[in-house]
Amino acid sequence: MTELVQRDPAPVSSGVEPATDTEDAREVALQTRVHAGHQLEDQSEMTPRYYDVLVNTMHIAADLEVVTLPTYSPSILNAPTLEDKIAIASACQDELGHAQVMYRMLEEFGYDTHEFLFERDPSLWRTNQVLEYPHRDYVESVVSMCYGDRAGYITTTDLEENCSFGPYSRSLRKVNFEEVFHVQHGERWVRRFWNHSEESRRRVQEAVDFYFPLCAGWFGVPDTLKKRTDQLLYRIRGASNDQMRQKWLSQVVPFSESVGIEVPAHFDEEQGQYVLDYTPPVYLDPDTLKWDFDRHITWKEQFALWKQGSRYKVPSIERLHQEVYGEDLW
Amino acid sequence: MVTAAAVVPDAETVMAALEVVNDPHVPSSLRRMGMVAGVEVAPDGGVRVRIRIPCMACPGTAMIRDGVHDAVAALPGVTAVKVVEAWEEPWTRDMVDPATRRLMHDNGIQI
Repeated sequence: MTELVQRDPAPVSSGVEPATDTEDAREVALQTRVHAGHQLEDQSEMTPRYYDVLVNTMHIAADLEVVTLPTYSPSILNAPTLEDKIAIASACQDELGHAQVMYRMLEEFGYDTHEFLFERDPSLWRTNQVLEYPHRDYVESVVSMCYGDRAGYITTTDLEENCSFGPYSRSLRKVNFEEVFHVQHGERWVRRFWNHSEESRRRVQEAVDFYFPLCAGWFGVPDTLKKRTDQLLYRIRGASNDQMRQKWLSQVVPFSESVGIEVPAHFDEEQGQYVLDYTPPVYLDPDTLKWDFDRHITWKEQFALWKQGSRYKVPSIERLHQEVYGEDLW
Repeated sequence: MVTAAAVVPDAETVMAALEVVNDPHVPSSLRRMGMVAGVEVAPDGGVRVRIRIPCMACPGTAMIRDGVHDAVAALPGVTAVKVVEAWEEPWTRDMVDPATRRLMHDNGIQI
């Protein structure tokens, strides 16, 4: 029986080196097994590179769950009813519960949760733009739930269905039950705000204008540009970026059209699939938070922006470290 | 020719119609979650559904009420639907049916 490999945990913020050709027998055997549907249950079954790719994936997932707290919670202040204030708090609690699930597994791999949460430099956190803009009102929260949680849900259901690491895959069942509620809650409220008043309709359209391209970008670069395919190689995930993005579009475009919300995407009859009306990457004005679909940036610039995060990323995470929530909530 | 008015459904029919309404978090019907306290149907087609909400200040309450309302209002013969929260008889864990308890257990949901 293979001995359990004791490894020093890699630094949390390190990415994973691109895949290189290998004839290592263990690698080949592992890849063959996972593609035949085998699920790994223990670190002892992992090759070093599989371990790195898995842990990297889980670290990013945990960061994304935790950052929902400083992002969503500001809208508690002006959510319209007590039930809605509780809905936001409850959604945050759900997300932190999901983070806890990640941490429990990462602890098995030797990572310290306290250090991870409270002592790591905020600039090293690996979050996504969708979750880096604190919500200014409840409209932003419900739009974020309807479009953004939905994008997250497509990722987590792909992981649940396909991830070759058994404990991670199984842990996502309950996570996905909870995400369904967030998306449904978002949909319900987006419809209500759309039909409530002229002003709330304007706010919904404004929020969708901002969030739609961010959420489309959640799924990453187009497949043709994707260099690091280890996650698919090891079946840590099942669908490609474009496949998941297509799934998202096939839900949000019909939903938006059914409500009357304008979105920069449509179904292309010729191609037989949903397409964006613009070609990413495009410029987001950091001051007005308006997109300019006619102004393109390079992918190099886009990667740099993704890595750096919004101007709110570091202050948001610093709030977690400073625990000053009480001052803002009352 | 006079068209007969739709027959007012009985309580059992209403309960069957409620089977499509799931708990917001657990993919199991409200009935199986022990969340339907009772159904009363008046001769004029007015239906009163009493529901039990397991968690104080549950954020899914409005969604549950809407779901119940829509499922019952769709029944022929129903003229009005009133959804009432039956806090006078609180939900308890033993009201969840065994298959749903197993589903929750198997998926890591504590009740």
